Amino acid sequence: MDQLLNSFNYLFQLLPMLLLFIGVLLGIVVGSIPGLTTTMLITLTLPLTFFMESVNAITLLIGMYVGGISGSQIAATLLRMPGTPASIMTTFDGYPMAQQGKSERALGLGITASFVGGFVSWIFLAALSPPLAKLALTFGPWEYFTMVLMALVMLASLSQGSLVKGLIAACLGMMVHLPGVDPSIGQMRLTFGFESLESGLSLMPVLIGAFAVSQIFKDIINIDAKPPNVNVGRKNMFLSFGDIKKHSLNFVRSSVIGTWVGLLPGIGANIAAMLSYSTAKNSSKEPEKFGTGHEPGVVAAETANNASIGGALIPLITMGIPGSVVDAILIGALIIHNLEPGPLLFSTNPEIAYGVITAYLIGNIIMFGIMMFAVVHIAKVLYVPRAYLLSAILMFCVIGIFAVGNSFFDVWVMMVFGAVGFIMERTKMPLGPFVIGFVLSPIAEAQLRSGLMSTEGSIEPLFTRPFAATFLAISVLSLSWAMYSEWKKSKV
Amino acid sequence: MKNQVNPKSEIILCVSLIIFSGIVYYFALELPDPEYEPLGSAALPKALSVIMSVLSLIVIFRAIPRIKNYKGEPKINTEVISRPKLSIIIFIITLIFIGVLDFNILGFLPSGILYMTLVGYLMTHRDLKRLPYVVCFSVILTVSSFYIFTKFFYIDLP
Repeated sequence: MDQLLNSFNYLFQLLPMLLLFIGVLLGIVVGSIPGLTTTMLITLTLPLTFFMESVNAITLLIGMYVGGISGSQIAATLLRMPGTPASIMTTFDGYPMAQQGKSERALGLGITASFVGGFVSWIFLAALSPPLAKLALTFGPWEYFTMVLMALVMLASLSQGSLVKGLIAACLGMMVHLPGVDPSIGQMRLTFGFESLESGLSLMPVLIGAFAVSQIFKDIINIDAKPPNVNVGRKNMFLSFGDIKKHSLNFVRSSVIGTWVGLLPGIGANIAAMLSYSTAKNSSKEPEKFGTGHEPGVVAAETANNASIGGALIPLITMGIPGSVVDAILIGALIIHNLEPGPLLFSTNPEIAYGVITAYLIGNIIMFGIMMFAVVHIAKVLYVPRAYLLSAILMFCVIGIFAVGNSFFDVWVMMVFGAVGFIMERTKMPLGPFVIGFVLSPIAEAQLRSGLMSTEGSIEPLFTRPFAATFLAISVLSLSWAMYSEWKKSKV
Repeated sequence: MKNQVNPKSEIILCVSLIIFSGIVYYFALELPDPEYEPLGSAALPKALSVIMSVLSLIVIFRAIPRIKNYKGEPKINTEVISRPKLSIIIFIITLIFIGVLDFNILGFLPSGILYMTLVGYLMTHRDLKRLPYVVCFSVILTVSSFYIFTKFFYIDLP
């Protein structure tokens, strides 16, 4: 408790507060522009955080995460173009409400729902993280190996599109991490005779290439798309006590669903919103109204997608396992700052672990304030000319990557992975498993080899240790279920 | 939902992945056998190469029967012209820009201004009326980024 209060004290200083504010604002702005994603913003900001103190860097990135997921509802509601995949479900009822002249009401509901979702999941984050981190300290290599396996399998199984392509993407991500020094015995491998590969491929060029550069070239293809003009006022945005009461059950249910889905490794905000929306629809007395501009639809989608952030942060700070792609990038940010994500974070760097928890809460409050009072102005960002925006981002990618390693090799790597990401997207191969495979493969390999060394080659602990066996069983079940669903779909 | 991806693209991608896996497997064979632990450095590369090749073959076998029936990608928004060529041209220009910087042919300021102007000009559909704005934007952005990175972050840009 003391450490939580200390963290609040630190966050209320000028610099961290300013960074959090900037992070949330940038997140909202970028999240609101269709085509630019939160993942892209966070990956692009990583090189800049290299020069910051670790706590401040994490505070800035958490602000962007919260702002990005919340900001995406603006374009989803006004233009039926979700700023990020997290707001796809918001388009179903938010856009019809805007068409009926109730855009302010839809945005007000969405913003309040985002805040409530964020707040409820913060309670779970603050309450569950310290005990879970203690429990995770009892985990050995077999538990870690199976947990990483579970994250990879679940992400590949739940990725949109085919299971096989998800698994290929995960394998490719793991293979990309192979060149360089073997993490267990320090032996050089797979450098193909290139000296530059001896230190392996760095995280940032791969991330920025796969997410930012590929996205820019995808956006250039549709550079002529112009959003229609929509007017937004500030009337009717604040909800009355009666409104809150009317939607209270939906708020709580969607927050719990969002937090739970976020907690599961590898599943993002879009799945949380989908699950919460369908639950709200199935439990409603008027399910036929969903999709026609029905308020509970907006509430369910926006509460859950924001709540999933808090849920996803739990495995991140307690075990070093990403709950979503953005979380994988946050793990990368911790690694860049020489911090080890995992249960030891609470004892070795409590300021970071508690910094994440407090920044998430304050970030939500800032998000609510900015969105409620400035959404009218932020909505104008939707009309920024793409030619200027995309060329500036492209230039920034090049300088940003060069700045981190002072090497043009990294810039070439970024361009190669830009092309790889672009091809993967065109062939509907999900990028999520690729990135998580890249981030988690050294952990998986090191833990498996350490486990095998301790048992002299026996894999018996996989079945005899309760947590390892549970994680393995979940992986097998997820894979079997995904294979069964795909087989069933192919029969239709 | 039916698979709308061009099956030929899938086949080309998966064949490339199989070749890549083969290369990785070949280089993994050259790694020494494990001495102090059961797995060794070559185990993961070999396992991943085999898994990826098998998965790629599955995608290829699924894609082959779709070749005959594939009728192109469905057009979602017919009002917006898709510009894949523009994307490829800008990608190539970006590679040239990086090459110019890497091989010290030009410094960051002149090459950055030229690059931004060219990319901006192409993205505004070679509209000469908008060129002055594009040039102004390129100069301001390149010069300001140069000063921010060199004076604030102490990065030596070429």
